[in-house]
Amino acid sequence: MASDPVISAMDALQAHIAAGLSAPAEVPAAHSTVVVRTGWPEWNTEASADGILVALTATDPDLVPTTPAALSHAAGVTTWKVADLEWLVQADLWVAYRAHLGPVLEALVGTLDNRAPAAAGLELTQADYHGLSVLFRLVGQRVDQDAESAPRGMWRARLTLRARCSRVRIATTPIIENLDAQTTITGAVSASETTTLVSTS
Amino acid sequence: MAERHIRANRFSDELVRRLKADTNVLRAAALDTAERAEAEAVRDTDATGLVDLGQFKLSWVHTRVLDGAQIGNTSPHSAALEHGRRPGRPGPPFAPIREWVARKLVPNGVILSPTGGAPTEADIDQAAWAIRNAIHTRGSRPHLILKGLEPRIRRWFRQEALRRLRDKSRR
Repeated sequence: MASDPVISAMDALQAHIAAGLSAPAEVPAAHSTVVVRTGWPEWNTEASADGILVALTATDPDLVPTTPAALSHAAGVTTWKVADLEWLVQADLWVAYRAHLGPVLEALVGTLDNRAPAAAGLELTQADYHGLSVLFRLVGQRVDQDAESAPRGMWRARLTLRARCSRVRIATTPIIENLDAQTTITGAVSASETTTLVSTS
Repeated sequence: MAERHIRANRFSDELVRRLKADTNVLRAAALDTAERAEAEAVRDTDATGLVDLGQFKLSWVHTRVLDGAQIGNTSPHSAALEHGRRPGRPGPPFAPIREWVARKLVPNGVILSPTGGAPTEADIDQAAWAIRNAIHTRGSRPHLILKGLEPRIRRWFRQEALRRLRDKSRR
């Protein structure tokens, strides 16, 4: 199980886009292969310019400690929320031809909202981080406009998402199995109290 | 809690006066936040190792604008560093890359002539073109320094604005 909520959230986003994004009908079959990756293509590899590529880059998260609050309790194990995490994600969409950019961008934006109409945003489950949820919201969208660009090349649109999730701590909670208290008062000036606390597991 | 009585016929004027005062407080909070963010951006630039001559690092600026304040970087290559550069995009410019090769790689012995001796001008040109073409073909990754600051800027502004508005209401 991953211990980093950001990595887990980015993995969930990658899997969601890879499963949900397909090339629109306007894009010819030769250019409709969809690849979704976290991080930029490595420097020593040349990304294929023929298909649709989505690269996700995350910033360092802003961590704000909160007063611990119990999120769940099961079988003596309590999940405590101890901090809020917020970070931004840049989703770069690359397509081979300028004409493909609009339809594919629309399809990509469509995959980034699974809460409509009740609310906006994309809520995913961090499978590798205690099954908690992470919320992504689209906050910016821009198409790179290079007037002097050749029509053939890798055209790009940039989407900015704001991500929020919780950092949690798992703690074992003792279960009180037997509590026995006995108080004896023998007089006005003396008293004794015996408390037996049996707690295990 | 202090009470203040306002006549009904003065209520709209009082509301406008109060909103103007609060807006000025928020503008001042925004300017302070932008100043703090600029210092943090310089630190983050150092941390990411994006410092050669220091032009990018020294180009972080914050300014007062009508709506509050803004922070940005005025160096010509700031957009490529922040958002990355897409593969196939025209450029990058040859001259700065050649100058960088001559300044960094040649003295360190990374660039040599075909015979293993000191490189000629043509050798330096060739190495610079190879680097320039690699950046052109493969693009460059985004560093997201300003984007990474955004959650902190929002939090700082919220804290600063609340503090100032509370102080103002106490007066």
